[in-house]
Amino acid sequence: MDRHKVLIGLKDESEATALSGFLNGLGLETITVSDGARALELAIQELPSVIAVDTALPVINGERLFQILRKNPHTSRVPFLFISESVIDVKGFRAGVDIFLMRPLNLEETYGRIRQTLSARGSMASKEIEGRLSQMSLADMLQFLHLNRKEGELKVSSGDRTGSVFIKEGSIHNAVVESTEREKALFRMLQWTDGRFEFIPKAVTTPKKIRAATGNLLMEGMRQIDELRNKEEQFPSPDSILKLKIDPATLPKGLQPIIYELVGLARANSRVKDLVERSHSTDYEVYKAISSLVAKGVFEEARPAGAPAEQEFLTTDQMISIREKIMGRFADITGLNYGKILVLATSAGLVAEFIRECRKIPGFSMNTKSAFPEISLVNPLGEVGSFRLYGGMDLILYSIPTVKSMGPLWRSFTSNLVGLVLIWDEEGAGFIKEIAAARRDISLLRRVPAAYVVKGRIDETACASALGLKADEHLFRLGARERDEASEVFYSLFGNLIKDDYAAV
Amino acid sequence: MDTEARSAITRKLAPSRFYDSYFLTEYGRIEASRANRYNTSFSIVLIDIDGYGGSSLFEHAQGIEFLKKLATAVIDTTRTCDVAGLSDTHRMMVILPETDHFGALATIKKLSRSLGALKKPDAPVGAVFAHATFPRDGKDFGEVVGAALKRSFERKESLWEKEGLKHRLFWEIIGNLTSKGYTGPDAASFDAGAGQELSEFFLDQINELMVREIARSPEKRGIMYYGAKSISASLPVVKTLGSAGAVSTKVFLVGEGEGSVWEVKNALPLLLDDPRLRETFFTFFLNEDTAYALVCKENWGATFSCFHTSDNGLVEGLISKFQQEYSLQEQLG
Repeated sequence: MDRHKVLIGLKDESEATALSGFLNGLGLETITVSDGARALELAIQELPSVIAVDTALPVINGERLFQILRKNPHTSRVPFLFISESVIDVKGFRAGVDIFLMRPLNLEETYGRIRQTLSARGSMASKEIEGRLSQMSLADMLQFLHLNRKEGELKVSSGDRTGSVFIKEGSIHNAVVESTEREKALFRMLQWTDGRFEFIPKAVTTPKKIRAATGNLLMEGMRQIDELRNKEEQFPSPDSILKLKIDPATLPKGLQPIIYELVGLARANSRVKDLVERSHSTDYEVYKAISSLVAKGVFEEARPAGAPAEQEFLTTDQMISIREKIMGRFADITGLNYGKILVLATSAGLVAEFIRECRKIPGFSMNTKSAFPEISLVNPLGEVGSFRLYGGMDLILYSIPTVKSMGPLWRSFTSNLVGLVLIWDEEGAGFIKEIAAARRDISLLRRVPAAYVVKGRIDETACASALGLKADEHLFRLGARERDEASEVFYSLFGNLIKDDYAAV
Repeated sequence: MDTEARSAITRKLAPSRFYDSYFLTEYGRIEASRANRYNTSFSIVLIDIDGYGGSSLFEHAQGIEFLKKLATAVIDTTRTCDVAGLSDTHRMMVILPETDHFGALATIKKLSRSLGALKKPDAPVGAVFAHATFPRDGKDFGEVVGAALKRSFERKESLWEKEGLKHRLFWEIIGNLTSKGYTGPDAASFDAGAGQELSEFFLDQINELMVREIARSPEKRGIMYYGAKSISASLPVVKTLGSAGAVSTKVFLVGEGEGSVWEVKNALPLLLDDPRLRETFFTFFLNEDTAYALVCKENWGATFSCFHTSDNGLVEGLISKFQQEYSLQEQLG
C-alpha cells in the first residue's frame, strides 16, 4: 500500500521539524517547506495526500494557497490542514474534509485528524468491490478475496444489521456483528441472503482472532447453518425458559468449556435466546449443548417448544397512544426513536429480581449487548431491557441499581425519560428519604409518572406518607405469586402516561 | 436604578452598537419570529457581571469606565450581525442570529478570553457566561431568556465557580475532587472496588453506559475524554465504540498505548505517558443534553475513591482545563 505524503508548510522551522518527525515515525511521508511559493510548486509537482499549512505562511499565505490549489483540477480534492494562532474564517473551507487547528498543537491530535481525513477520503474513493448478496453470496465473496490474497475490510449489511469481516493476505482475521465477533459473527453473516457488501482495501492491524484456515472455516460455517436448520425442531425454542437443576459446583471437571460457560450464564439468564446471545460459542454449538444438557437433566425446559402463542402485552391502539404521548413530549424529534423508563432501587438484587419478573411480559427483551454479560444482571446499570412499540420506537428500561450517591447518573442520563420505577425492600426502607429526594429531583428535571414497587414486610402507610403518595397511587409488591406484578407496574405507568398531561419540563 | 437611567448609561457605554434591554427584547422577539418562519436557530449569551461588582458598577465613574471597557470588548469579540446590550444591572446579553448550541459555545470561549484579559483587581471571580438556543431551549424569546437565566444561576452555583477551581491546575482539581466527600444530587463521592458495595466493574459499566448513550443518538454532537493508565483495543469502552455505527460525538482515549490503538473505530487516541494517570482515571462527557464526569483514584488494595458529577459548569471547566494544559484543541463538540 502506498505511503501517504503530507506537505508541511510552516513558517516556524522547529515546529515543522517536530511535526514532520512525528508523522514520519507513524509511517507518513513528509515534505517540508517554509514559504507559500515553494508550497504551491511542490503541491502541484508531488500531489500530496494532505497539505498542512500555516495561515500566516510567508510569500503566499495559507488561505490564498488553498484558494489557488482548489481552482486547479489536479489539486482541488486535496484536503487542507490549517494551523493558526487564532480563529479566522477561511473562505471555501470544506467541513468534514479540511481541518482547522489552533496553536499550541498536540502532535497526536494532529496526526489523528490527518488520519481521519485520509481514511474518510479512502473509504469514499477506494471501494474496490461492491455488490448485492443476492448476486454473490458472502461465502463466494470470501473465497474470491482469499484466492486473490486481498487485505482490507469487507462490510456487509442486511436490513438494519451490519457487520464487517477483516481480511489479511486473503485469510480471515476477525468478523464483527454488533457486539459479537469471531466465528459466531461470521456464521451469522453467512446466513444473510439479502443485502449489500463492499470491500475496502486497507491495512488490517486488528489482532487475528479466527485461527482456522479460510476454506475449512467456510465449510464448517455452512455445515453448522445446515445443521441448525435441519434440527430446528429438535432444539429448544429460543423463547423457552430453562431451569438449572443441579448445583454448578457438582459438575465434573474436564467437560467441554461450553458446558461450564452455559451453566454459569444460566444462573443469571433463563431464556434460551439470552444464553445463545451471551455465549461466546457459535449459535449451533450453543443450541446443541443446551439440547444435550436438557437431555441429561442439567437444565429443565420450563416452557416447552410449541407452547401456545403469547398474548400481546399492549394492543396496537395502546402502543400508538404511548408513542404519540412520547413524541408530544420532546421538542427534539431527531432523538425520538426511544423513551426511557428509569428503574431506581436501593440494591442491585432488587433490580435483578424486577427484571426477572419483567421477562415474563410478552414482548419484553433483555439487553444482551453488555460488554459485561456475567455481571450485567448481578449489577444492572444502564439499559437492561426494552419493549418494542409500534413504529420502531423502543421503550428502554434504564437501571441505576443504587440510590445512594448516584444523583449525577440520573441527572445526566434521563434524556427522553417517560417513566420512573422506584423499588425498595425492608432493608432499603431506611433510605426512604433518599428515594423521596431522588423522585423529587427527577420530577424537577422532567415530570413523569412513577410506580412504586416494594418487597418484604414494609410499613406501607409510613412509606406512602414519606413519599407523599396520592390516594390513587399504591405500592406494587415484588414477588407476589398470585399476580403478574411487573405487568401491573407497566400498565399503571403507561395508563398514567396516556391519561395525564405530562408536559415536558 | 430606573430603566431610563440605565438606558442612558447604556447609550454612553459604546454608542451605536450597544443597546438597552428594551431594544434587546424587541430585537429578540423579531429574531425568534424570523427563526421560526425560516426554520433556523439563534442563540443568546448572558454575561453575568456580578463578579465585577454588578449594580454597584453603575454608581461611580470608575465603574462606568470599566463597563465601557466590557461593552467594547464584547462588541469587538462578536460578529457585526450579533446584537449586544445591557439586559439589566447584573448582566449583559448578546443575541447571536443563525447560531446553534455549539456556535454559542464558541462565542462564549472567545468572550471569556477577551473579557478575561480585562483585569479588575478587586474582582477575582470575573464574568459568568450562560447561553440558550432557539428552538431547543424555548419556543419564543421569553422562554429562551428564561432557559439562559436558569443556566446562569446554575453556573454560579457550580462547584467550578463556588470553589474557585478555574484558578487551579487540572491535576490539582482532580486531587481536590477525589479527596473530599461530596453528597449533593449533582456532585457525589462514592467508593468502589474490593470489599465495597460497588465493585470495580461498576466503574467500567458507567463508562459503557456513556458510550451506549453516544451510540443511541449518533447524530448528537458532543465530546468525551476517557483517560486511563493504558489504552488498548481490548478495553470494554473501545469494544462498545467499535460495535456502534458512525457517531458524531468526538471521543478521545487518553493514556499509554501502542500503535494498534490508532485502528480504534469512533475514537481518537492521545498517547500520554503521565505518571498521574497510573493511579487516577477519568471520563468527561458533554453534549447538548448531558454533562457527566467520573474521576476515580486508585487506593491500596484495589479500592477506588470516586467522584462523579452532572454539574455542567464543572464538566465543561474540567474539559477546558485538560485541553489547555495538554495543548489540545479547545472544543466542546
